[in-house]
This record gives sequence, C-alpha cells and structure tokens, in this order.
Amino acid sequence: MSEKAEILSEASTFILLALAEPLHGYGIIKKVEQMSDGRVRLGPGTLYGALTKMVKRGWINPLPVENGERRKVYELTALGHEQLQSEMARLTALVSYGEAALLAWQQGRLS
Amino acid sequence: MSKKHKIKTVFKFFLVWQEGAESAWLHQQSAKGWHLQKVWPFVYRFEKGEPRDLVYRLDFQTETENSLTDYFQLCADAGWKHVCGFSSWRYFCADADIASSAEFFSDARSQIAKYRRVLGILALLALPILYLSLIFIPGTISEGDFSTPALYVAVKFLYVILTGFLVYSSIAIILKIRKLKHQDCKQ
Repeated sequence: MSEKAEILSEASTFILLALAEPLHGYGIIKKVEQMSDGRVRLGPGTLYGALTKMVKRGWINPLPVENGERRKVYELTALGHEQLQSEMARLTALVSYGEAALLAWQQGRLS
Repeated sequence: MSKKHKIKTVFKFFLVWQEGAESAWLHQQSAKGWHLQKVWPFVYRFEKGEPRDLVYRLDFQTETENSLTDYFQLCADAGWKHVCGFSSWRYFCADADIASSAEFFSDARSQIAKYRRVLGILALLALPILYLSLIFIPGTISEGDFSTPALYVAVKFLYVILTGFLVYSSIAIILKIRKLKHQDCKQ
C-alpha cells in the first residue's frame, strides 16, 4: 500500500469505482445508484464537494469541455486508480480478518 | 398573459449555524406561495406564486458563479434548482418528493467539509484582527498615536465587536461540526 493512501468514505469509493469509464456528474449519481442496487443515492452537494476535492488531489481529471456543454466529464487518473487499489486491499484484508474471527467464534461455540 | 408579479422583501436574522431554521422558514414561505427569488445578508426577496412544497438547502462554494456552471447543471439534473446566492452562499430548492428520495447532502462528511470551508474564510477574517491585536497589546501603541481620541475609541470599538463576532461564530461552527461528526459515527 502506498504511504499516501487514506481510508476513503463510502461515497468517495463509489465515485472512483463509477469512473471506470469517463462520466459527468449526474452520470456518476446514476451509476452509483445502479452499482449499489439503489442503496447509495449521492446528493449533488455531496458529489460536487467530493469531485472538487479529488480533482485537487489529482485522483480524477475533468476532460476539456466542448463549446456550450454545461456538463463536465471526469476521468480517473493513474493516482486515483492507485488510491482505489489500496482501498480495495484494505477492505479485502478487513473481510478476511472478519471471516476468520467469525469462524473462530463459531468453532468455539461448537466445541 | 400580463400578470403583475407580487414581490415582498423581508428582513430576517439567521446566522450560519442556524441553517436548519432558515431552510424551515423558507419552506413555510413557499407553502404560502412566497418563493425565494433573491437573497442578501439578512434580506430575502420573495415572489408570489402558487403554494408549493419546496425544500431549501444551502451550500458554501468559494468559486465565482461563472465557474459553477457545471455544478448548477449537476444539481438541476438531480432535481435541485439553483435559486440565488450571495458571496459564497448558494441557495437550492427541490420539490419535497424529490428531496425526500435524493437529499442535497447524502452524508455527514460532506456537510462537515462545507462548514470547514466556512471556517477557512473566517480564519482569513482573523488576519486584520490579529493586526489590530498588535496595536492594542498594552504598551505598544497608545491613544496619543492616533490623530484624534475619537478615532482611537472607534478602532477599539470595531476591534472588540469583530473579535467577539469571530470568536462566537467560530465556536458555534465548531460545535456544529462536532454534532455532525457524531452523526457520521452513527451512519
């Protein structure tokens, strides 16, 4: 895991995951809703705050806007990809600790 | 159709951390057919129309209005209309049924980030006050250094008011952030 990696919020994780393909803001909201089976519905205020923060950190990049287009399209950068990978590694480790602990607890009850 | 628009202007005192009360009040106004049209510090202008069940939310974004086109479009796509704003404050509204399925802020973290942006601006305001503090530290500059005693009193008065305002608002906003953090833990 890179040193710069931090624990992402659920909203941020989903935003980065949605950007597997370049999308505009509302496209991200729809994609996240679909990925989470309707459980996560990002508010526009929350999404915009997260997008500006991620652009500042270089995790995502707004694509050049064509004349008259009001919607900015964002793409994931290599740094954003790295960030996402370390978050996945953290979550995978958490799940395997969790499963081992639950198994030990079950075995303890059986014996 | 020539219909004369009825307008009313209301003076009402809300501070940053009283946003909940402010949006509740705007909601009540809309229910009576008075829809927010424009806003200045503590002054609200409403336009008369059909009563509607509108929910209002505020955001704080320091970019200029021109560079927020993308943001306003995103909000509009999600059902939230940008109504107006002053300085960095932005007022949005949505029909109550849209607002209940898609809140403007969907987590506590993003609201905490918003209040931190407000605190950042307050910190900038603190700089001139810090400068005045240097003046009023006993023994550095005295009344005699000002051209008139009245000026000395005026500057000192301004200093006390500004410091009081700044300390009071910072504490209120920090408490608001703490409350939101507590909410975040429960989410």
